[in-house]
Amino acid sequence: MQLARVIGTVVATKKEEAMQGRKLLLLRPLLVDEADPPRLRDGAGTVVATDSLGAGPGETVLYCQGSSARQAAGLQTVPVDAVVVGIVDTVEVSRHRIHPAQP
Amino acid sequence: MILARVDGMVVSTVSHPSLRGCRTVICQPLDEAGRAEGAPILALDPHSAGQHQRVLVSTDGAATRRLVGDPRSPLRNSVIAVLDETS
Repeated sequence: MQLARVIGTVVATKKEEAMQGRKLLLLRPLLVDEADPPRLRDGAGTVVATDSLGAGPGETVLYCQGSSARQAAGLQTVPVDAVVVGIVDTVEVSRHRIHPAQP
Repeated sequence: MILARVDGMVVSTVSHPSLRGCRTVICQPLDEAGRAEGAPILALDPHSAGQHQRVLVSTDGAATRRLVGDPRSPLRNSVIAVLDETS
């Protein structure tokens, strides 16, 4: 599992039959910033993931990649390799709450 | 899955039998602004995406093996959607 920020949505009409009705989100992976541990920094790579939880742009989410992504409910026959599995409330690192960001 | 742009197509005569019957395209991964991001990858394309079209590529090997109908296929990437828009 990894943390990511939702940076957008993706819409496709022509797609695999099994993908019909599935919401697609554009995610930017988030990493703990080693230079400044109480912060999250953007990781490399943009990921598209399916979402059944209702996450929206700007939110921080947990996502799974690889074949374990398909273990999420009802995805066994869908060709997905990334799924949003949680909407993050808080993240704490070394007793610093780093999400949501402190003012 | 990743966003990608179709940059070309690959034709191979001597290849694994599971590669026959489905075209292979060169896909350049893109970021949210449509800029190239990372090295291009090859993917099977059952949707006949055109040159420079934006597509969604899945690296789900099980789905790709199902697509080619060969449980022992070494293929992994496939185009699963042709994009209308991203925002």
